[in-house]
Amino acid sequence: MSEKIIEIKSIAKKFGLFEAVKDVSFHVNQGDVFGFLGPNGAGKSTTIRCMLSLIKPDSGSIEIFGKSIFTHRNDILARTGSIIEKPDFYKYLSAYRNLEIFSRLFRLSPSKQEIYKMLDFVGLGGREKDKFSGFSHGMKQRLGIAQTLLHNPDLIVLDEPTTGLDPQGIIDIRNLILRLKNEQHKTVILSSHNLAEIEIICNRMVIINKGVSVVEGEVNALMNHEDLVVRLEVSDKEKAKSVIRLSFPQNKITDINEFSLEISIEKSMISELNKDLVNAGIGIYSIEAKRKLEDYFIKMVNA
Amino acid sequence: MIFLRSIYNEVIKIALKPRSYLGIAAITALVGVILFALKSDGMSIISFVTSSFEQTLSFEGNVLNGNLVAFIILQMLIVQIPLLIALVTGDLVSGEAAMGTIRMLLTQPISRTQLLLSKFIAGGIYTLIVIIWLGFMSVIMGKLLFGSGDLMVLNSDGLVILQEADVNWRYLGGFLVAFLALFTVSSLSICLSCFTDNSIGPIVTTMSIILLFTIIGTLDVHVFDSVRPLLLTTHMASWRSFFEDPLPILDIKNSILILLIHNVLLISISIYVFNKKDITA
Amino acid sequence: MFRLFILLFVTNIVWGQDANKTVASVISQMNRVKNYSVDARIKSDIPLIKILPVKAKIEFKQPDEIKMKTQGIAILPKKGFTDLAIMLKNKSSYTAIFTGYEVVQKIKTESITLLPSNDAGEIVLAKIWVGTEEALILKSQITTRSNGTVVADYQYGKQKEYGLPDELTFSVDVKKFKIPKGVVADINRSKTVEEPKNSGKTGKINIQFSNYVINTL
Repeated sequence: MSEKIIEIKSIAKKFGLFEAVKDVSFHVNQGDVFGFLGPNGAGKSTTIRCMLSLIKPDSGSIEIFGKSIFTHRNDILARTGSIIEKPDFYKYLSAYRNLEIFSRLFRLSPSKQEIYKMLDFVGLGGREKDKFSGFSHGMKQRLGIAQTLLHNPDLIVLDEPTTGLDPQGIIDIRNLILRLKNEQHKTVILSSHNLAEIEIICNRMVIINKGVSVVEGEVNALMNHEDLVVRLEVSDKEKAKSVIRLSFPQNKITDINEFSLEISIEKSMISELNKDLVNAGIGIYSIEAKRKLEDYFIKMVNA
Repeated sequence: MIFLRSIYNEVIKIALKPRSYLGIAAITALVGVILFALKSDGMSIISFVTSSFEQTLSFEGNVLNGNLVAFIILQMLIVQIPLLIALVTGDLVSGEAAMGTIRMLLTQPISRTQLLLSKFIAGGIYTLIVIIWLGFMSVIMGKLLFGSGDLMVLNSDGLVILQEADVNWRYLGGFLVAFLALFTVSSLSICLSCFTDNSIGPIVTTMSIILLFTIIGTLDVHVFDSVRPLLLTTHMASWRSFFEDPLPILDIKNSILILLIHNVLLISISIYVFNKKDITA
Repeated sequence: MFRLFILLFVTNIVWGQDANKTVASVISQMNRVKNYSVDARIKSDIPLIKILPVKAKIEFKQPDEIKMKTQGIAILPKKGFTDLAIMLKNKSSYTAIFTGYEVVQKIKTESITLLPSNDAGEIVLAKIWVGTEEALILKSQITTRSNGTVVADYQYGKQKEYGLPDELTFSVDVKKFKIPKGVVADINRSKTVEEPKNSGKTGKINIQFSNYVINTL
């Protein structure tokens, strides 16, 4: 059983009369890529800020690496790297200078070569001396990731890391996170609205809503209880829909395009569906079954 | 070790911020204008000061000399210099919040207290540089352009003429006390900076406080007598006491003590507020 | 009545002639000095002014060229330092009238009033007290339109044969002295300072001369 890296118990935080977080609890194991999900205003940002000592919770406990954040803040942060919301650096300083400034506060400051190497790694090679004020959104994200990884932290907290990145950038980040997990055994907390990303990358997750943790656990285990979403590409979509409505009147059907549709259905009923469509003379070009986190998320949040 | 590195960081940030040079440039321009004006027609300023004496007496010697010029410059800039300090130091905390870098800074393994103290120290270093530059521009340039000589100072209890050999140590003492006074301004602006995420607010508030207190201090009315000893600006001007004869040592010590108390209070309040602050920016 | 007039007329002629004679002796003594340089120590004691003694070097050349180099700032009376000598040498600019004998510095002196010929001139009145034995000015008083009255006391030493004093003490009128309000920005006051009252009616400026070098320039 993996060691618990983070244990959050019943934290709550009020800003004036507004309860941003009411009762959030979850834990993260060593080596997890942990998805942190919730709709806007759920309390994700407040929870992350509490974890990183930017906000002091009104109640509850936060332990990271077996130590309380309230009493061992510096020890914990020395092993943690994070991007919270958008990465903000000093506009009047260059990319290199910005990293140098922050890295000077690490216990072991990286050398100039190491900083240059990291900038190269995140795709900012050749832009070391350019001022941050001139960077695009994607470049700012990359610099933020560079700053997060520069001191080789054990725990990495990423809040919307792929926002503003081009498709290649998104893939790069995804691959990076997987490498961090698989090759370097880092623990990553990933907060994102890109549920497809979460579904691909994360092994565990928590969903919070209205300041309360709703569900927590292994992604696969949670999704296993849910209906699959089957995408069909057929020769006659309208006819297929009629057949499906007759056989599976309760199941949700979604139009995708002229020839494709999706249906939520139990795994065991897929062969039945296939038989009904074939018997009705409908040609099936492709049939693809998957769980959709999006649906699960919406279901949990609305529960 | 991290504390020292943090101080270095803060100094670098100030040094690389364009606004920091506004103060230096402003001092250069202001002093340059005053030097030019005095070189052109400085005697008329002196005549205005000594007018009631000049009916019966004549002042022989190099009256308009570098020492007097430096004194005139310091008197004229007494309100402006604190504003130039606040322009940079008022931004040290709130500017980070406005930029968003406060989030990045406070997730580094340095305590909030250490981080804040490093900002105070960096603000102090900037203040020292400003004072040294002001000293160079006023005293050194003044002496280069006008020569040296006895210093004629008009106080509210009379005219004092200090001999040349007796002036340099007074300027040294005066500048040291002025540095303490300006460091207090820096502390005030940083303290105000801890209360807000707005970059301009602390700067404007500091300027307003300085102006208001200066006006109260200048108005020669009894109703403010009880308030005046407590005002920061009253003791900010204690550098001027070095040019009285006899030297009011007790008054100077009192001012230094009050300025130190101000600093301790302001720094303590800042540390308390900064440590309790929730970073939502 | 006629006898009274004759008495006054005769008196004036006699003593008027004495005043002129005395003034002439003073001038002739002055004229012996073509030039000189001297070290001076100027000490001023004037209400509302604080100043330490100042050293200076004074150089004089006939007829009225005087240069002063001070080590610092020195305060001198605006009138009375050189004006008397200039006035005395210009005989047509005044009428000398003997006004009696007085004891000054324990020495019997002739008190001579110098009435300016020009009513509109700067000097309104001058007076000198000259020792009867050595024709040295022991005291002088000059009243000017814009600068009030300056009284000078003379002390002599080795250079009395040239009429050059070792010490001069000026008394100046300081009634009008006051600190200009609004100019002073000593905001380092924690209490309102009452406008300092000018308690003295006169200020004193004392000049001690030493190391005369006469007629060598």
